[in-house]
Amino acid sequence: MEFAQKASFVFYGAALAAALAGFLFNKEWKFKYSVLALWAGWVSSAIYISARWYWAGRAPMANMYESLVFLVWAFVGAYLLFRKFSGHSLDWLATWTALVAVLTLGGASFFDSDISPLMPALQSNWLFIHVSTVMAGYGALLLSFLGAAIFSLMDAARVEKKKSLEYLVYRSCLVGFWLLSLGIITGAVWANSAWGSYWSWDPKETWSLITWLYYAVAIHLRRTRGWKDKKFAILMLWGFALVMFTYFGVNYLMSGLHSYGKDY
Amino acid sequence: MLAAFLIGGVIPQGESPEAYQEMFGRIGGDWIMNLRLNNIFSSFWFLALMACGSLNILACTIKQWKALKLRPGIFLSHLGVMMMFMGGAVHGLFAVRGTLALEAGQTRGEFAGDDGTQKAMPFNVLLKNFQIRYWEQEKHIIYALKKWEGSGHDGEDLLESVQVEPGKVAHFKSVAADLTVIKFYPNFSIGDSGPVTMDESRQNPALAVKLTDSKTAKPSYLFANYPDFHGVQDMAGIRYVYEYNPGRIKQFESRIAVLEDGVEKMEKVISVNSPAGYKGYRFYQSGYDPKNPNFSSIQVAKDPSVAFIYAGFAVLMIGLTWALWKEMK
Repeated sequence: MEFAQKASFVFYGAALAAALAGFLFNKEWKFKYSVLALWAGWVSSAIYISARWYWAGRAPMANMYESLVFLVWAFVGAYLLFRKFSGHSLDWLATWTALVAVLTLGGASFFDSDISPLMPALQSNWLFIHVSTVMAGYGALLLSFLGAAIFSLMDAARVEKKKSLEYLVYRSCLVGFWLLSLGIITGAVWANSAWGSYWSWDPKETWSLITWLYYAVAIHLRRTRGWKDKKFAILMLWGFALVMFTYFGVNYLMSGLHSYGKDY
Repeated sequence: MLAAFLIGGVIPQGESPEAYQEMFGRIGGDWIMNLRLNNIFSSFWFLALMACGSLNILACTIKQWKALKLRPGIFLSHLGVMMMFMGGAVHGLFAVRGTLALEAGQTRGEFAGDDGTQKAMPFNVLLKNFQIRYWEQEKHIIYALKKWEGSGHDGEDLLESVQVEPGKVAHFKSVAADLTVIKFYPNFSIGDSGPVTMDESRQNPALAVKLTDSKTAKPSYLFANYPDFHGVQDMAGIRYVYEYNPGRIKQFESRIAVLEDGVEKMEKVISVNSPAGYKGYRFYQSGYDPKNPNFSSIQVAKDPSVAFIYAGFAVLMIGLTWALWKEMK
């Protein structure tokens, strides 16, 4: 099982190395092999998540380590999906996707990766449904953030690349928003079945709602006020700061119904 | 609304005035209490703000109707949010919530509402029994330690660790010694007639033990919280230290029955994530008392807003899916 996890890390690293080597030696193949390695890393990660699910006898979504591994898998998957539908105009983004995947998986290794039994509150099928949709949403919003960051720094003369990035930033935001909506809703349904209240204004719920509202406002600003390109990119940068606070900050700075997030 | 959420998200809700003074200083704490920022989400101004938000979406929908009727996905997603606001209003007006505190064998027909009043139910609830199931049971481990000799430094070597059970003899092979574990005290204290356990909570776990070759008839005591305070020492200079491992809880289970006019109408085992329902009331396993193994705290909820909220969820997701599909094309 651990082999698949190490393999995914190595493949993401290889994706980064292939692109860098291609740049260094000015080779045509640089993105081809980079994307191929990303695919291999993504498949290895899928095998690892499945194997962990099998061995634990439960969905591997119960602690920070497991959720981060799933987040990286969703993020890389979102990139590969958008790349497929963008007519390969986003191949060059494979380098940056690999870099974020390597760094995030590296960060995940600081958390406890032991498989431990679930506490009573987490023993539900909703664990998989809720956490996977939220994490997949975060993965798509991370992709939107990555695109927005590069868009903000990119030279205005690179019209074609900026166009493909603009496509990616907006659409991955839409996908992330859809998944975040579903994640909050499934969380509410789960809360109602576990605690008898679909909304308790616990810090995690409140910050999830703030994040959701922020992205809803960003989408409205784009559609009704024409906030596109750089303006929308900046909105996405700040939006992901909110996502990070909801994901990490609330777990470590506030106590509430989701406090087990920091313990596990 | 976003600003209100942010304030409520930053300032912990429902704390005491003293807790706010500790967190934000005396002046900051006083301001929080004066402005009622300690319970934002149930304050009148916040509820009024939510009502205004709902009216705002309604007004925008009517104003943009010509454009919206051509975009059913966007219309439905806004309709879903409005339904949730409506559900919130129904919740505020009609929902009842509270806690039913029961001991095994006890029957009650009312519960303590979250608003501080007693709420009557049209039936009685009997707690037949309560049990905690474990992934792994609690463990008592005794370590045999020997002091370093002639090294000039303080320290001990671990010779052996043995998992023991109250009422049984533990054999330490490495030192050829037997230790009889006489009794387990979950929360040790000294009473009028000697050592007693205060309650079943594991606050001060202790073991009464006796070395088989000991000449004294009195037992010695090992304390998990104070390993250096009362280590039993045998003739060969071996010290015994006790570690208490509390185990890992798997599930809390309450077997409850609903009685009407003394007749049992329903019986069910409720656990976390597995509630029971009867005549619109839902019963959720919510707590226990480590000092009293027969006590169970059950959350009671009767909330007619759930149907509105869930319908709102469904309409919102259908709308968002529709809009996303059109946008991605």
